[in-house]
Formats: sequence, structure tokens, C-alpha cells
Amino acid sequence: MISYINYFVSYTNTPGSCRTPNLRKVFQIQTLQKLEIRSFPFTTPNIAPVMLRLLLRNSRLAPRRLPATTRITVASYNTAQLDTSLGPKYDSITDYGSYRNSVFTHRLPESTALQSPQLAALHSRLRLPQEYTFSTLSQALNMDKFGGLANNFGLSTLGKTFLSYYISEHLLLKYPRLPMPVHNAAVDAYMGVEVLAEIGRSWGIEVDRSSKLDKALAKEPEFLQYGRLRYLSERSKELKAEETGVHELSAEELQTMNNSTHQFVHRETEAFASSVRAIIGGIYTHCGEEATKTFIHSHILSRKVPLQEMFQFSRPTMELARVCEKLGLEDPLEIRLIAETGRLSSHAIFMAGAFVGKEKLGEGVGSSLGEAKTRAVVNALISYYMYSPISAEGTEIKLPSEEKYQFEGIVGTGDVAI
Amino acid sequence: MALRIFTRSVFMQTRMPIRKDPSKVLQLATGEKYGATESNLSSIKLFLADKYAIPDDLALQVITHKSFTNGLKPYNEKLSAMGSKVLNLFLAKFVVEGATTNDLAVNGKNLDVLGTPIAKELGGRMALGLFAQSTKLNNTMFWKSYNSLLSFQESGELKVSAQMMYALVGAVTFIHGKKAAEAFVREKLLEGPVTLEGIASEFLEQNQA
Repeated sequence: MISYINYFVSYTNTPGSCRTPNLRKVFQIQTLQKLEIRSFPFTTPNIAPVMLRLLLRNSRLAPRRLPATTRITVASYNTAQLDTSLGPKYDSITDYGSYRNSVFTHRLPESTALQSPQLAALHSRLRLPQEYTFSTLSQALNMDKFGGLANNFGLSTLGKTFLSYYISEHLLLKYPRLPMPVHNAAVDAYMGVEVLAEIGRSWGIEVDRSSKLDKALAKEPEFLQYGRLRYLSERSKELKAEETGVHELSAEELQTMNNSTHQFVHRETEAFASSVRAIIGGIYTHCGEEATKTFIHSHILSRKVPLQEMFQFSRPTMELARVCEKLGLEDPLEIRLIAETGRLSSHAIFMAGAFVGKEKLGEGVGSSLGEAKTRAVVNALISYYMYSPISAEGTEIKLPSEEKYQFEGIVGTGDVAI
Repeated sequence: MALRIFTRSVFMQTRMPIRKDPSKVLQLATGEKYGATESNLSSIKLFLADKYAIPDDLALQVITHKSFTNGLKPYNEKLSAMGSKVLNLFLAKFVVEGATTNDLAVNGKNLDVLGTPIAKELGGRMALGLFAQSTKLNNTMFWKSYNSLLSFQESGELKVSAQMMYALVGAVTFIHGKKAAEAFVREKLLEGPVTLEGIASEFLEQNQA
């Protein structure tokens, strides 16, 4: 029996198992205990039922609270791994200049890239600086890993880092009190895959969909493909006919599948987003950080993101009470009725306000007392979270990346726990 | 019908939860009391020196984690959000800007290093956490472990220490600006006896072995 109990202990203490003991296992142990008791070799038949009754009454037969053993529930640190499919080579780990992905053999010569009308059009449309070469722009549109030409992975990674910083800087300084879930949703609204893909499409980037055979039959010049977004394999290009409404997921798409929403990132969406990030990375490599920042501000941060619509409160009154407590306000939070009309009619209107002492934090109108109260509280919460500081001169505050920066805003003190 | 205007309390007083003694809640198991005291902030102040000095209340926020008093005191989440972005941006520029022998480099910048383990781990949680431990910057941190008897990594101290380091970079960015923060990272985290580079490369070599 001891061995079964040990098994039970080890079962409940494996990493990832829940705290609640598995009832099926408990039942098995109880059954085993009872079986052993029944098969106990009693010498006197008269005593056996009495002992059995006593034993059954004994609380020891119930599943006892077992002594806790060491639980290791913390996931071990996931160390970054080298992508061996790129054939990386380097002299030493910290010799950054020696890293080379041997799967790529060359970059597109500038003379070939200059012949592409799509590249010239895109370069002009985005008003990229003269220093930005066409070969880099062509590389930014190449997601193909095995074609020999250097692809856009490095450029895209660099662009993502720049986007990530400048968008976070904007949000953290302009809206310092945004709760983290809203902050993250706002970052996603500026630089999420779907959003960047839409931006890429609006820039007029075309996808290279024709196979080598089609190109040969159409006598298409080779340089035309270098101005298009290349992410499809030759096989997918050849298999053009796709059933409407049926889409076979690739391995990359399967990795992005959200099991709860059953949504995934389409390869084409990812390719467009990647090209946008890579174009931004390319600006840094040729024109420096200031030009990159200007580009991000004019193409990404200029987009309107409705932050107010991202809020969703599950328990607004408690949240407001906790915010007041965190701010150290002396007076308690009170919801007061400011005005009402037609209480006994079918169209009553109430106006409630959320007050702390004599200070009104927010007000709301509703057709019932409860609705008015909730609207007042939500109004107060949004007013607090959407606060945006201004400078002493009444202008927008400066960002840390600007010249002659001086800190004038506030630092978010963190969300409240509800 | 004339609008009846009056003010009265509909209902609701703040429901007060069961309170613990504040003096016990605002104290670590090791005895340190929450507050911007010299003993609590000395290690941070010494590390920042006058060049990168930050206000005391911000320094206290840097060493306060979300888990402390259930987030009722100002904590370092927003600071670390800023710090991690600055750090990752600076380190990405740092690794691509050196001299290179790679003929695939774009305008002299070797982008093949991006995405490699060293490029990722330089600003990773492990390197930052171990850096804080080596420099003893994490000696005083206001946080709550779910089990303080476990190891540095398993108790969550590694994660909290790394977040504190990100917050430190973030606080310097907020007060002194991005350029100063990048100079701070170069001077304090990449030069000197203990560096992120040294920690990350040692950690990766051990991992590969």
C-alpha cells in the first residue's frame, strides 16, 4: 500500500500538475485500502467485523493530506538557440563582425536592382533618402531563405527593434497611466502583424506569384521579380488553383495558430509585415537613426489609434476605489446623485457623479441609478488613465529621444490589483 | 416638469477589505522597511553616481516590484517597459556597428549577427538578472516570492532582478534622455569588471558544452 501512496505523491507533484489531487487516483487508493483490510488475516472470526467497523470509522481511511514534497513549477529558462538552417559561422561568440549565414551567397548587385521599375516606384513613393540603395530595398522584400540571395531577416529584426522603442516611448510619455494590457494592445495596434501588413499593402508592394515557367513563357525580364515581395516557394506558385474557403496551413502558420480563437497569421500577412519592418531597418543602415525616427513618426505613429475604445472594465467601481486608495486620497469614494427627472415615468434619467470629498472625478447619465453610477465611475477611470501631460508652456512634452530633452511628465506607477 | 436638482448619496461606501497591519506589510522578511531611506537606496545611488542620478522616489519605484503589497505602492512595470526597449535598441545597434568581414553586410553593418543567441541573450533576462546579482544591486528589492526557499531562478528572484535592471535603465531614460541612457548602458553594463557580454557569453558557452 505504501508504494501506491508514494505513487500518488509523485503523481500530484509532477511539474505542471494541478494542486487538487486527482480524484480517480484517490478512489483507487481507497479501494486498495479497503481490499487489503478485507483480506486481513484475522484469526478470530468474531473480532473481524468489529475491527473492520472500527477501521472503517477511522479517519485514516479517508484520503489523508499527504506531506508536501518539493514542487518545481517554475519553467526553466529558455535559452536562445542558434538557427542551424541558416548555416551560421563565426570565429568566437562575442566577435560580432565574424557572424555569417552561409546559406546566403550574395546580395543583389545595385546595377540589377536599379533596373527594376517597381523598386524605383516604391523608393519614390515612400520618399526614401537618396542614400537608401535599391539593392537594400530589394533585400527588404525578400523573405526567401534558400534562394542564395541575402534575405530580409536581419533588416526586419532591426526594424522591429526601432519600431518597438519609438512606439513605446511615445505611449509611455504621452499616456503614462495607461494600464499595461491597454498599453500592449496599443503597441499592437501600431506595429502588430496585421497592421503592418495593411501598411505594406497601402504602400503598393506587389507579391511575386508567377513561377519560373510562367516567367519564361511570358518572357519576363529577370530584374522584375526583384521589386516584388518574394515569400512563395516555386511549388506554391505552381499550385495556383486553391479551393475557395479552403486553406492548407503551412508549418509557419500552424505555429501562429491561437487555439482559443482558431486564428492564425497568414503567411502573406507575415511577409508584408516583415517587409515593412525591413524597409524601416534599411533606413537605419543607410541614413541613420534620426531618419528612421522621422519615418516611423510620419508613417506609423501618425495613424489614429482609438485608445479609449480599448478599455473594458469588469469591476469599475472597485477599480476606482483601488485607484483612489493607491493615490492616497483621504476622503472615501462616493457616488452621488446630481440630478434626476421622471423617476416614476418610463423614461427616467439620472445623472450621477463619482466624488472624493469635494472633488468630482467623473459623471455619467443613465436611465437607471445603476447605469448612471457605472457610467460615472467609468468616466472617472478613463479620465484618469487617459491623462496626457503637457509642458510648462502648454505644448506637448518632449520625448527622451529629442534634443534638449527635459523630463516634465510623470512616470506610470503601475496598475491596481482588483 | 421642472428638473429636480439635489445632491445625495445614492449608495456605496468604499468596501474596505480586511486589512493587515501596514507596518508588517511594508516590511521585508529580512527586516528592511519600505521607504526612500538611505539604506534602501544606497546600492542604486552608488551605481548611478552623480552623472546618472535619479530622484529618490523614482529610485524606490525602481526597486519595487508589482508583487509587493499587491501593487499598492508605485512599482517598476512602466519603467522596465521603457528600459527593456532602450536596452534592446542600443544592443542591436552595438552588435551590428563593429568592423566586419562579412561580405553580405549592408552598408558596413553586419546584420547576420541579429537573431543569434548572443544578440538575444545580451539583453536577456538571464544576463540582466545575473548582472544584478554580481553587482549586488538586487540586495534590497521590495517584492514577494511565492517561495523564498527556492533557488535564485526558481524563486523568481532572477526575473525580478532583471526587471529591476530594466527599470534602472528606464529611469535613467526618463530623467536624462535616450542618449544619456545609451551612454549609461555602455559605461556601466558593457564596460568594467562585470559586463553583460561576459555573463551572456559564459552562460551560452556553458549551455553549449
